[in-house]
Amino acid sequence: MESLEAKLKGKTGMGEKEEKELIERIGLLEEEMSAKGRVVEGLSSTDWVLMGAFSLASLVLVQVLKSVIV
Amino acid sequence: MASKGESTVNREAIFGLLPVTPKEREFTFYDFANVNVGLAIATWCFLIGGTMAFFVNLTDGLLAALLGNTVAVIIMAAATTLPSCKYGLEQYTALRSVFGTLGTKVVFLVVVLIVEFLWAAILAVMFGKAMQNVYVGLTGSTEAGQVLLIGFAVLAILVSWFVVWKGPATIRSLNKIIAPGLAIMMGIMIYLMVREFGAGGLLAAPPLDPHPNRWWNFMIAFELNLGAGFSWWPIMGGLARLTKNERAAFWPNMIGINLAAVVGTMVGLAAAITIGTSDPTQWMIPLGGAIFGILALVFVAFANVTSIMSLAYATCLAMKQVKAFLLMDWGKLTAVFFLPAAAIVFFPNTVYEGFGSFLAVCATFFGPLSGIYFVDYFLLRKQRLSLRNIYDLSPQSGYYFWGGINWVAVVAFVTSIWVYYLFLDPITFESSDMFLHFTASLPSTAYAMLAYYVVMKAVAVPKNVGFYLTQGR
Repeated sequence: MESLEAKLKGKTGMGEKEEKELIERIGLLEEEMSAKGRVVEGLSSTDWVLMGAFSLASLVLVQVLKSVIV
Repeated sequence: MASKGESTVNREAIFGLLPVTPKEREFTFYDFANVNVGLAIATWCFLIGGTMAFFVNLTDGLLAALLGNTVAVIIMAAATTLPSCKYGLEQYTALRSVFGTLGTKVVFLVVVLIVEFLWAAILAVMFGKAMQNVYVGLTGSTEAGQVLLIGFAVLAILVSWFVVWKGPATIRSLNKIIAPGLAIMMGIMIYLMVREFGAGGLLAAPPLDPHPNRWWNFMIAFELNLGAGFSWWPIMGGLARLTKNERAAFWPNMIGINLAAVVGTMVGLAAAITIGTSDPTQWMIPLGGAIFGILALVFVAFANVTSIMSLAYATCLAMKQVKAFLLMDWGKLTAVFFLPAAAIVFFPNTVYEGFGSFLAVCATFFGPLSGIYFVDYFLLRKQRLSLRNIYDLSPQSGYYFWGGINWVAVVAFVTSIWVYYLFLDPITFESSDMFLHFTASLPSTAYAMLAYYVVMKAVAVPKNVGFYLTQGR
């Protein structure tokens, strides 16, 4: 927390009260990240595969439509 | 002197720039899907559908809207919602890791504000047009002058400003009524159109003013929907920071600003091609008769005002990024946002008739911005940001780059606009042959991603300019 204060104090462009709150929040989040490795649950590989599949399918469909329309 | 309520809003706005902790996150998957659907089902669907009606029939329009929005929303939402959700960061705060502490402000002021002013002005003019048609419907007058239209558009801006000034509570309450109300109204419109024209009639209705080349028409409609999908870029990160996990941050976008928006857009397209005009404010009376038509027009008019309020509130919060606005009184700050929009509504026809070009311009900006953000966060930073460096605005910040600006990102972005023009002129819709194969926003986005990745890997990453090697704290 001290290193965080030294790093950020007077450099955030915020008022004193908001800056104090900011430092507390960052401290809390950094602690959580180093303890658990993350703050919230991330996407799984299935999510990424689905995202890729949706994008690819959309682009392929456009090309299929082109062959139908042109 | 600021009132107590106003100073509370101002404080809330400043605290809105702070990272949210896990306990403060309000949105489950279901909640964020609701918020997303509420955003999507708005009068802009009618405007987009009305513009598409010049080029495509219902079948081609449905495919162009679904495919265009799917591609754009996936790229845009991955780039904006995932970093904001992971770190609880407001979007423009997180963007300091891409454009630099000062560069983000430049991007925000030049790009986002202009687009948001124009959105507010377009919706205000639509309010004016709707009220002008209500006046014609009620008085039986054959025409209503420009003064009435501009007067109502200015009124929409004034009412929106007053409500945004007073804080988000009224906006939230109004949205709870307007979004479901619009969904019901769209349902009634579908029923009336099917009753009047039959499903076969809707499918057979031709576009209003198509190009002789059907494929060109399809690609323009596809491009407009890419633009519509990318145009959510300015606000999605700010909302996603309140979601409980990354799945809840990303997938609701596919339900709301993709699927629900496509449904709304199709209602607009169907109405435009069957009634024969692209102006949504001229659909209601022919479709529903005098009484339903006037009631629907009044409702559409007020729906525009709530849309203006939502986008204005989100943008004014983001304006707190800029030091000059950070401690500015909330009332003055909101006035600063609404003044340019109020000036623009004095040119209602230019604003309204240029909506198609405006959507294409959105794609020239927000496609490459999404692409650059995506490359930086996922490929260069491997999804790791340093909160303490993001909030450090001094030259000691890891995200200070060169003089506070990541010039590589700026140049990749600016040149991508030129690449867009090689494929399509967003103002005149004159296109090259390459546009018929690739669209314009996809190649300009791909160019921005590739150029940014290659130059950053060669110039910035090896020297650790931008805090790429020392990840984490």
